Amino acid sequence: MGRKYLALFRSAWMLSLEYRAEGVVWMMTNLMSIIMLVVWLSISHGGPVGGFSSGDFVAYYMVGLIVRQVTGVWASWGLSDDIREGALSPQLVRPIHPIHRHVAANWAEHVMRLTMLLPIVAVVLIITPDARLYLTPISIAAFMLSLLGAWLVSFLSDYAIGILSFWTSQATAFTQAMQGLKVVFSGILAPLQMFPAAMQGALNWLPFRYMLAFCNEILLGQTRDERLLFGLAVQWAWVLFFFILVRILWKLGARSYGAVGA
Amino acid sequence: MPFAFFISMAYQIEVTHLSKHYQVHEKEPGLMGSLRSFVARKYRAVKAVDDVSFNIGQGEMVGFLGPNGAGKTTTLKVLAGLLYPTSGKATVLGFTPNKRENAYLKQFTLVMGQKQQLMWDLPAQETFLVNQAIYEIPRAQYDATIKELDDLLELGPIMKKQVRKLSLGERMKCELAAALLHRPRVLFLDEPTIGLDVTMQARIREFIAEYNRRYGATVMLTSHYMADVTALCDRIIVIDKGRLFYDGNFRALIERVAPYKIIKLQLAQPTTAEALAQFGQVESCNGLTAVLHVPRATATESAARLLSQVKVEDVTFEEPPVEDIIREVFAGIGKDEARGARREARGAR
Amino acid sequence: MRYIKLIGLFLKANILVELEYRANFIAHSLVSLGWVSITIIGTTVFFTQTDTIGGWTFYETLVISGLFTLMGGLIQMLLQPNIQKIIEMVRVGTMDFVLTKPVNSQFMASMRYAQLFSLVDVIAGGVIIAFALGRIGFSPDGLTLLLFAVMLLMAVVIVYSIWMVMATCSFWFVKVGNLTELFNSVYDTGRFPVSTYQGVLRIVLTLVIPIAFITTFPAQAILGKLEPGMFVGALVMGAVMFAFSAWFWRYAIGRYSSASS
Repeated sequence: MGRKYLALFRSAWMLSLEYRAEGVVWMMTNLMSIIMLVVWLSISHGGPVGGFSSGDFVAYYMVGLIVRQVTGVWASWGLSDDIREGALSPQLVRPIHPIHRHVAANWAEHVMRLTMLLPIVAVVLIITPDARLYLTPISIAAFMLSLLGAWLVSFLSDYAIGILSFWTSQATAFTQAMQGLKVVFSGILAPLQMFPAAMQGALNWLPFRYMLAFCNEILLGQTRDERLLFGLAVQWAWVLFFFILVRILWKLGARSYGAVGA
Repeated sequence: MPFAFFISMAYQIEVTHLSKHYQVHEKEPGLMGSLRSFVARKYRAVKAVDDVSFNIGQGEMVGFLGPNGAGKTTTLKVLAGLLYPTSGKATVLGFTPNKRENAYLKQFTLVMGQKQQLMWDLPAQETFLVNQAIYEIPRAQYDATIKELDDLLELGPIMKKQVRKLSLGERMKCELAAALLHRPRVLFLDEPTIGLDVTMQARIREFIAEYNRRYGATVMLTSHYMADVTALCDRIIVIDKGRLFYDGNFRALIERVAPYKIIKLQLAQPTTAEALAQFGQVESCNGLTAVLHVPRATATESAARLLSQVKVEDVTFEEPPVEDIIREVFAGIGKDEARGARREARGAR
Repeated sequence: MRYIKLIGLFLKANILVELEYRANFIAHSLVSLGWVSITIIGTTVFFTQTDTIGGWTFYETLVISGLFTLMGGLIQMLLQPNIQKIIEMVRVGTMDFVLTKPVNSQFMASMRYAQLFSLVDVIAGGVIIAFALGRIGFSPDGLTLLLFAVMLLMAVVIVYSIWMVMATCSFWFVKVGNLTELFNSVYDTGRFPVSTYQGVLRIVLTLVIPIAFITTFPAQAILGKLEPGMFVGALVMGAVMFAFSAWFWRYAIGRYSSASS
């Protein structure tokens, strides 16, 4: 399996390299979340807002850039196209599950863009005096773990939506819906602490927080100790949930594909 | 020797009473029809494959013939495991295809003329390397196979060019190479030469024949081009509207459907059709040229008589064109169906 | 007049396609409504922490949100499907079919498709605007509505021109589909009044990628706060950008080369 992944990653990397111009454009697209930072900075001009100082906002959105890059997923688009155009058939005839190609492509792209993004984020954090990160061995380890969990939740939920393409030609509408929900409820638009308390309570159980905000909070020192453990537990419960969902949906979908085919 | 004989006697592909039905929704044309179907859908059952049975042994090259929508591609897809049967059974190499066990997937290949597995934006070579990993081909075998395929297909530098920059023929060659890297024992080829020019078609045909010779691979081929089938397949299976109409030797089919030979004459002096009628069925007679159909069994005898009594400048003997034969087969099928339909209608009254 | 008839035929064809996938039609409409709710929530969150953003109150900003949704709906409905198609046609080589038809190629390429269920967004946007105006207690008179209509039209022209320029770029860069995504994220700045952004950013968003003309200025029009400079600017911007997009398209067609067979 490792050999297969190496080969898949290799060709995915070459594709990413081939289309690095495109990759840069995507990166710039994600950079737009900086706009939200601008809005918050103009609001927090006079003083801290919702517990966040201007420096805190900068730190939040900078870390958010990294996390947002890692949790960027698009497999459902490819899967939808493949199923619709019948290009899934050649993939099904090979002794490897089609999902692995998407995993490799996703990570190849992440690695490529992070090499450009990490320096920028580091520089901004350094030159902003007020932007402080909470760095301890535990917080760093927890951050890495939560980052992996965030990727898994994002990727698997996206893939599950893609699998719906076996039954509907417009699964990507749900992808876009998911994206919309992510923008608001995963903390891309605004830190979740800005939401009314009741809403925050609900968001602690939904998967969205665990796709971005949770990771940010760890590195900003806003979530520690028991709350940290609780968050990790919920996050990985969601990982398990989506993993099982993907397996079930795929079985059903392949069955349905085998009925009608393409 | 007897052992090898025994091995080859076991069928590699067994299809028994295979049926595949779909539900298709019907819609009347136009805006009103669309609105109606938006509210209430009407479904119709389509029998893509209807009670088909056949067995194929190791190393056979079988041609699958039939008009568009006959069920050829559907059958191939069932055998490749992409579709599961509505009823009946299909086994290939002892496996149930739609279980898609890795052990099975590594032993066959599916080439679809209109769909591709090559990565569009990278050189074909990259797809080869990925396939090597996916099919777990050991390095030594991979190198050897690449070399052979390169020789047979004359790949050369095109392996290193981006696939989207290749011509259709070059792309097809690379597709075939990618499909055969893992030395499959069974080949399902669906319209492999479609859209290619005549030279390339011939080249691909030679390659498939050579591959079959060298590795004893079993080949099932569908094609619109008679030349593909005539050149490669001794045995053909004719399918129409999901049903199997003929399964057997190609030559035998020709004998059955078109049991005549064609004699083309360049006459020394003009003759009439009536004068030639005694030798065989006169298809045409214009001045100095004439075409006759004579029964196969008595062809040489009729020819001898003809030549002794009629002065000719030139004479040629030909087989009936294969397209005509196939058309005859389908026409015959059509007549059978019409007869059957009339019988049913009479019975219903 | 032929072109009007063509638009009618295109519309009919698009409706037929939509009706084919009825479950999706309904699903899409629901998803659209979901998006609209999210936009409103998004705006509300910011106002839980402050009373004004860029000098605009909550309901005034809501008018902008409404316009953001409405224009977004128009983009999804009329622009996105066609631009995606253009990019694909250039990549696959079927643009040739468009160019050999006896119809203006820019018209044919940019008006053929429509994603009709995005009409939900357009209507929702209108509802939000009306609602916000009601809350403010402002009733626009005839002149205001007329000015607003013109500003809206100009906004549509500007957006159309931007998207056409992006699509035309695909003649040179094979994979440019994500340029549209980049636009979408720049467009995200249109959720808030342009006065929120300071300095260079505001200039960029007004003159370079004129998001200001797409949401903020039309919002000011319907709030009765339109400045003459904005009005004239909108007309000029619209005309200039449209002319440029048409010229750019013609230039690109002239140098077009299709992908390998």
